Amino acid sequence: MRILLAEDERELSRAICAILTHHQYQVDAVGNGVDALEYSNTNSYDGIILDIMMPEMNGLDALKNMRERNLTIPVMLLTAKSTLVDRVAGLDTGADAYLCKPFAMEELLARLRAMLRRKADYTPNTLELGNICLNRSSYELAVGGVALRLCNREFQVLELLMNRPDRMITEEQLLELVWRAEEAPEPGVVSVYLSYLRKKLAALGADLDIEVTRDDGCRLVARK
Amino acid sequence: MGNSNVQYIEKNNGPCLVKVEQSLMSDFHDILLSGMALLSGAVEQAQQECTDRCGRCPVDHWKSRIKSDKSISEKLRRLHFPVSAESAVQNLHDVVGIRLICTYVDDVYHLRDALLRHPRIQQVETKDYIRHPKGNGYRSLHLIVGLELQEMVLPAEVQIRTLAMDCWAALEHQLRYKSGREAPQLMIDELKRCADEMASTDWNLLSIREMLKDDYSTEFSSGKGAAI
Repeated sequence: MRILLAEDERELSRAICAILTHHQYQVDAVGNGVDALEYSNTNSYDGIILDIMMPEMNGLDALKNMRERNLTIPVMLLTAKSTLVDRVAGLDTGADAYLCKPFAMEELLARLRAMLRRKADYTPNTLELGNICLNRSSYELAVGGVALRLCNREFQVLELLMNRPDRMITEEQLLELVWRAEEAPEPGVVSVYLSYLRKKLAALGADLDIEVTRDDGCRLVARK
Repeated sequence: MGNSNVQYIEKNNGPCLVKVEQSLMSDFHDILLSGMALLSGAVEQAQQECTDRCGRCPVDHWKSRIKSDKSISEKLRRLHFPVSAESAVQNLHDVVGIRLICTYVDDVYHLRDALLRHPRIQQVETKDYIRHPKGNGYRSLHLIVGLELQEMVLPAEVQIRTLAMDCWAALEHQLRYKSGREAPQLMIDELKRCADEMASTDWNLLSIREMLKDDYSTEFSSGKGAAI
């Protein structure tokens, strides 16, 4: 499980990182809201822990921005702001859990486990972007009611791209996220799947296309 | 076409000769045969043209048929038209029909373009059930054409589809009509799911062919009408 931790108090951040790592989580730590946003855009996390009071951009604004971009990753707010109004505002902005400082590490871990366990419930069944609609349970890629059924890997690649439109994702990241179970994927397998998806997007008349750059990055862009 | 009463005659070698029964359509016997000969010739020419351009034969096989008297009269009755030979060639566009089964999705459109370039074949209507599949998942390109014969312009229907689309259509037809009763909604949904999966595979096969070697010349694939 990969976790993004945004906490500006260095000591606390270090302590949480150590505990999470000890419990087999992979953790990326950042110290402000702008970095949190940037990391959440370019990487794929299973969960995010956000402090509210942070320099540059506070945690609530970062969370709001993530939700506006359809980022459905579960988010826990971790903060000293403990009034009722703060807690309600945090949850209504799109947080999935709220933990007030000071807290016991056991509770942080338990809440994190509970939040990640319910992950599937947070994701809407269909993902829409431009004129394309991707159904998460049937793996149907549809434009204006005409559907093609994607295979598992095609679905996963497209889901990742749709979750971060306009953002580059590298071949390496796709391999890690989609082909992780496979020990030694054939070289070029990612570009084969990108070709499949591009062909289908064009066949359906999608207004989005996958742009592939020379350095093996790709992203969804408006079709020219 | 697409009707359970329609009998297709597999084409092997040479033009397909179909016996037209001495009854409803007998006055139009010669016209129907020369229409079929014109259409068969045009198909062969289109097939050759595409083969020359892409270096492989885009057609797996094709079938032709002249609608049986029984089917014609049934269809005329169903559509409330007078039951006569004149009425049939005037009101029905599928008395003469050809079905072309090709390898890849782009072949469908290349063949259409080549066929419509024939000087004696007029384009009347195109129904693109590949871009706009029917509700049950059926995919195929249907062309209604006018065959310019000496006596008249005879309407005909040309269906062009891939092996995968044909495979689905054949099995769906069998499963749906063989059981003799209305299929349950779940099975209708599952058949559609199969169609959407096969269509997806069709596009993958085309991608694989293109990744291995793009065999239609750039000039051809960027040519007018060939875009898919």
